[in-house]
Amino acid sequence: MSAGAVVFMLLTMGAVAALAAICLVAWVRAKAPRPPAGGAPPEELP
Amino acid sequence: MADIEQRESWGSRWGLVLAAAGNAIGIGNLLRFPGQAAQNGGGAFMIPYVVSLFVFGLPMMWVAWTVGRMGGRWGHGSTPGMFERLWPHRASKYLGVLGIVLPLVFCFYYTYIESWCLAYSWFSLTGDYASTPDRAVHLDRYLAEYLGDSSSHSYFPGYTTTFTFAVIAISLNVWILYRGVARGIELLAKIAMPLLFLFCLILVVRVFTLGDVKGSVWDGLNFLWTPDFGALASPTVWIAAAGQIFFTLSIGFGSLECYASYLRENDDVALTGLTTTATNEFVEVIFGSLIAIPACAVFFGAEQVKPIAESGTFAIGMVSMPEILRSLPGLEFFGAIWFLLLFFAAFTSSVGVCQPVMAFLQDEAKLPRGAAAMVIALFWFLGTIPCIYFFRYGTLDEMDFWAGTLGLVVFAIVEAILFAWVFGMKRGWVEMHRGALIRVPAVFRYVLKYVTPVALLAIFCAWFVEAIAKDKLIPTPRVRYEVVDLHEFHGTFGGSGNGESGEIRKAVAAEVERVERDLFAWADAVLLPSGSLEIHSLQGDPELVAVVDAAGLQRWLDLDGFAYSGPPAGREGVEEPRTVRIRIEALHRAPYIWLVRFLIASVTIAFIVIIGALWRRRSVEVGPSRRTTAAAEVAS
Repeated sequence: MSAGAVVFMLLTMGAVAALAAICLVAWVRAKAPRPPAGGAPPEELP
Repeated sequence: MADIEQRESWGSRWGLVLAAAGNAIGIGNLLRFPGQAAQNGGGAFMIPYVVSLFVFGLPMMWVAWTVGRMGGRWGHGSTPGMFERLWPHRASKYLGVLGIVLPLVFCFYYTYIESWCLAYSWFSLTGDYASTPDRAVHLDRYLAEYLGDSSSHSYFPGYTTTFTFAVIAISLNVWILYRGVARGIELLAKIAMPLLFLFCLILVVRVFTLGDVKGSVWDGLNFLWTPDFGALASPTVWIAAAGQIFFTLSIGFGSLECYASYLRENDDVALTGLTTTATNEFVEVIFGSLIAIPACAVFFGAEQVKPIAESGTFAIGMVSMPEILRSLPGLEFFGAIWFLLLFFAAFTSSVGVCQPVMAFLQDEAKLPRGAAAMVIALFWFLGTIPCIYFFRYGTLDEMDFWAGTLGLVVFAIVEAILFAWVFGMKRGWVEMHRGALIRVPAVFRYVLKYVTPVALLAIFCAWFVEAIAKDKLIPTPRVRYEVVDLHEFHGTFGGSGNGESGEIRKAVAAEVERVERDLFAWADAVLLPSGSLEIHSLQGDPELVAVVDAAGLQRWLDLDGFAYSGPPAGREGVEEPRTVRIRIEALHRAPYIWLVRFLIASVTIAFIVIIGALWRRRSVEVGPSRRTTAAAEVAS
């Protein structure tokens, strides 16, 4: 493989994998409170 | 309020993310992406690809989730109701019809494609496309016959197999929709998505352990990723990258909006949108580039990868890949896995794309789930029939052009303008961050307002101009010839045509347009040991024979360089002259193309009428005082 191909492949795949990993970590760390099931009544929009 | 409380919701956060990722991940991730990248600058393709992702892919993903969750608060799972919340005007709900018609028409043909994958996984399991000494299976003709796109019936006698698998695929989709969001779509995603990842991993390992046959996997990766920076000067490359982002993220259908409508008011949409995008890109960039193209490089050699990539999405998936898989031990297993992978990718997308139609029937028309599923099933079967029986006239491509290409951009333009300019970026930004687990970088506020709509308009103009340039708007006749009994030959027939036969084709096409019907002719030819063909006689429709007689066909074949090339080693070649039958067909496509356009227009008008009637009925039920209050709430 040419050096350019290796660089582009690793950069792109690395960026995509990193983005997926960041999202995964964010989901795992997220502890947002969830309202009870059934849905809250509609609120006025800001 | 009771209706709002009765709406379904997602069972779990992971189920939602898997379902949304399943919606976005489709056949295009595994087949279209590597083909597009290879044809448009290799590694350099990633530059316009990433730019498109940030300029409109990711922003429109966030808009879709935000608009959807907001609509869901008011009990709307489809865009007529959602757009009305963005723009309280009597016209807005009619703009939302795009979010019902586009997914419905998309499902008509996409589920048919999905059924091919299911059928091919069955054919792999049964070894149906493995060549034997008595039966040469040419995979391009095998696919053409399966689709009814060939004059011969060597492998499939008619449409029975095709129709059966289409019915199975549609029935599976309707069944999942009938089961509902949590017990249907979410459960499917929880089963199909891990399987999809597992199948991808198995195939990547298999491809990388193939060894070197005519090339290596590194040749394929080299071809795919070597940057050609000169390609960046071509607008075509930028348009191709923008198109790929559009198709891959499933934006412009109203399906992500529908998924978001089942969220609770303070559930996150910012991280969910980003995760959906990230998962989709992970599968597309990593698995999409590590399976098909490297496998083709190993088996066909580095120099053959470019023509294979240019042969199109389905030629890679349904012709080249099976060719490779049947050369390996374990066709039954690996072939089935490859096509099941494509099937699951398509299945999770098609149920997601059709859910807005289901939601419209349930939320707005107040149909029970079973009745809504039955109505959809009826539309679905009727809408798929032109794709099955008139495939050879280009009906599937026509649906894809209007619903899966131009329509998507129109929908996205409408949604972007309504969100950023009518509803307002300030309110939209607050709505996007309600319950958000991450903060969207502030720059996207300006990107969404100024850059995204302009970029979308530019894509629309480019695609429309391209359609005019390629004569897509005016259906021209399709003219071709083919050897009928191909299964008797292990070698291949083909030409190295340089376009000099164009005049003959044009003359035949002109005759078709004059008589306004299909024209056919059959020629008896002799295949010489040298591989060339001698036409002996030609008979068929007099109008066609008047334009192309036996001598004319001989000239046509000679100009195309059409000849027989030797069979693979170990199989018998042509040692003495053999009789070959050639069929010429000139198809009058116009009636079928206009039938599709009429179908799409009819569905659109029908839904516009239904929306008008439903809203009038609701207006009467709610009464003037409630209407005033609701309008005031929205306006506030």
